[in-house]
Amino acid sequence: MKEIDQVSEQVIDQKVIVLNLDYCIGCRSCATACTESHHQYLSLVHGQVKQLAELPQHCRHCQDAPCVAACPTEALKRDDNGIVRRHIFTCVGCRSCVQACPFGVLDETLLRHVTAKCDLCVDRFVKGLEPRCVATCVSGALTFEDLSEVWEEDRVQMGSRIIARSPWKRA
Amino acid sequence: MASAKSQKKTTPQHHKAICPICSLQDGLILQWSKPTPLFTEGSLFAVDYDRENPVNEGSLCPRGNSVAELIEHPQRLDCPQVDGRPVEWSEALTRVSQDLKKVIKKHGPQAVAILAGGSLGLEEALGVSRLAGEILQTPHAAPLFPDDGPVFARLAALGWDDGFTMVDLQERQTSLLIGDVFTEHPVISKRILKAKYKDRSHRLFVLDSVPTQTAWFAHQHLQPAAGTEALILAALLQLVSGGKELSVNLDLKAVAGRTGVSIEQMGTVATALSQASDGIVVQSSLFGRQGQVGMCALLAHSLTRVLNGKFDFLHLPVYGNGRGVYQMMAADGRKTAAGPEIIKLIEQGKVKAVVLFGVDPLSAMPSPALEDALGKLDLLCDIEPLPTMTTPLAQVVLPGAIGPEKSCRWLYLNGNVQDNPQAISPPGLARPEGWIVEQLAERVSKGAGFTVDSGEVDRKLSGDSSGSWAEMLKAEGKTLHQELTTKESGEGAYPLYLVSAAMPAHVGDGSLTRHFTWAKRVAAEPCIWANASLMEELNVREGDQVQISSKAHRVILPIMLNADLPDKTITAPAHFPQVRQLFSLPTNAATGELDMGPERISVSLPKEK
Repeated sequence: MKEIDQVSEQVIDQKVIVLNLDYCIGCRSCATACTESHHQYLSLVHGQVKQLAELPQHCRHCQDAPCVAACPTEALKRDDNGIVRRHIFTCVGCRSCVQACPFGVLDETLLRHVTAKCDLCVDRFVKGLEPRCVATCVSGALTFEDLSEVWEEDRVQMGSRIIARSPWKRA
Repeated sequence: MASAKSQKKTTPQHHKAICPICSLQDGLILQWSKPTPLFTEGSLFAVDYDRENPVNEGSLCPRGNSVAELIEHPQRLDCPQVDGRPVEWSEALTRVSQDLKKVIKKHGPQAVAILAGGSLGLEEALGVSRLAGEILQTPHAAPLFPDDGPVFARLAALGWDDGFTMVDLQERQTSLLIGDVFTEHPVISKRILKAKYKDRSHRLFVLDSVPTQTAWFAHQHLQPAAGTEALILAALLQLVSGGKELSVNLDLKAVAGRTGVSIEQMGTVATALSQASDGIVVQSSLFGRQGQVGMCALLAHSLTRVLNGKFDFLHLPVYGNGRGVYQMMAADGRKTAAGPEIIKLIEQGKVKAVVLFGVDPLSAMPSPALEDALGKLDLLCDIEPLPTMTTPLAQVVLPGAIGPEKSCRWLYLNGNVQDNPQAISPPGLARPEGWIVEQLAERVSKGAGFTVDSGEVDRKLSGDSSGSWAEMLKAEGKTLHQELTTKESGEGAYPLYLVSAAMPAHVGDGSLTRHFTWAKRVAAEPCIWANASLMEELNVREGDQVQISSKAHRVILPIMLNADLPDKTITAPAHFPQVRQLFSLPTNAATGELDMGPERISVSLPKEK
């Protein structure tokens, strides 16, 4: 699988959020943790399967991020850790990124004239800690793992920074 | 009301604390960070995850994640108020003690009532009980736990199931979950799901009248008609015990007919439970969810006693230290089932002065009669950290502390006493409830007050229960026989059932829930959920206003679609008083506790004015 090879070559040391679909109970603890620590921005949305299953959807921190391409002021950039981050002093709140994101994980609400996005809790990331959504996950559905270790198991890639364990092939 | 002022910290700090919200008492860390150039107001006070805590290993539900928001809420009460004026403590306490003495002199001590909530520490609960018994000498002092009280009443009589640990649960082979356990107490899913996926032989069963997040994970979901959960548990008990000592002995065909659950389904679950080497039965007792919730607890607990394997019964109270407050006040001789009875006395005008320690009657058991009566009291003293539905009616408001703001002890689910260290000071002039109790005791008794020590708490907690399981089952089992043989009344006027919907942000009676930003996002306003066939029958679309009527009340709310609900079943979020008012609150004659469950209702289009 060429795409996977390309990813693993370029980001071999990258950590990813892994969503284990078997464990998610849809409690929204991840979203609460995100908003409470990011001034009530919502950078984590939920997808719903019928009305009984709700699964968190994070920013994928895409390698070739459409939001980065769309931003007119270059406020969004992918840093050396592979995190797509917003530079708040350059953001003008135009919401181009919100429209560009194919996953709909950017909140269009402005706070102090800027939009918000997932920053993988960079304040924790630099200390070697997992993002808050992972730390708080009550059921163990979200984990933060080395990409190189992830590919050793049978998983389905849902973007460059989020991977789900295939529900059809349980360990 | 005066706005809260945050403690400003310039140095980053971390303090371990216990989440004060629900009975799982998860560990968390409160931390202060340095302000950043853009966000400099106050301190960046936030919650962090305590991976070392053996209860939750860092995980927090939406409520736990919102603890910092609660503590720094702009509506925090931070100074005493008398008749709406901010005052010093001495004036407020003097007013309360003088008014209490006036009421006692004019009407007698029975005209005074004290209600306690689940956020009190063990020492504080004992202090409240002693204030009522020794100083005020009123018989009317009790905790107010409409959701958990009926369960506590049975467990207190027969003995609590203690001795297990949270980590132990993830090793169990079988789980029977009663109610929407994962939604009401999300952190426990960590243990149950680890057990489920660890071993292919693990069996997870759910007993709930509606499909839920929890039921989605079940190998088998027993979905009886709303309010008939106790019949299913009685049937399981009978099948497992073979009709011997601990059994109610019902006609199983009648149970199947009444509940809609086949004997075969019940038999499958009973067989799995009987063959399991170990397991856990967990009950989550949300207001208006399970019919005869106390009876359900009795039957579920009995089930664990007759099963061959090592089974424990775990009841998950909605309030943080609910069990501790209940046990403490009971050990001190208070009639702990009297909470609902005291509410009735208030409504009837027989109580003239009420002191509320962290409880909101207008959220817990709302009614127009209660609101009217509270407004006419000679004294209503409300002690809370945040304003509630009842607060505006109080002549005296005293600012209380939230869990991490006071050093106290709580009783954990397995009976262990847990230290709750103080991590932060309460804002402004707010004080822990224990201090308030001692001050009131001193003023009312003119200096002959008391101090509660931990030794006294430990002595009182060590008492044994001496009830007989068989006798209690025999006595209460009669209601199940009656349920099977009596034709349901009122079906014509109220053909549907209202079942409370659980939400992860729900807390107790809902008074705290409504302050969470997160709860406002998930459900800002009350509504009802119904399936497509009812919406078709009413010819309404999602969001249309409908009238919901019960014997107790009538309200107009928007209707939303939940396609998976069974026919004749409506759900609504239980943290809104508009929803809770629809429930009539029958009292169990044997225990004095509320014994409510799903409510009979009708849904129609509002009449045009």
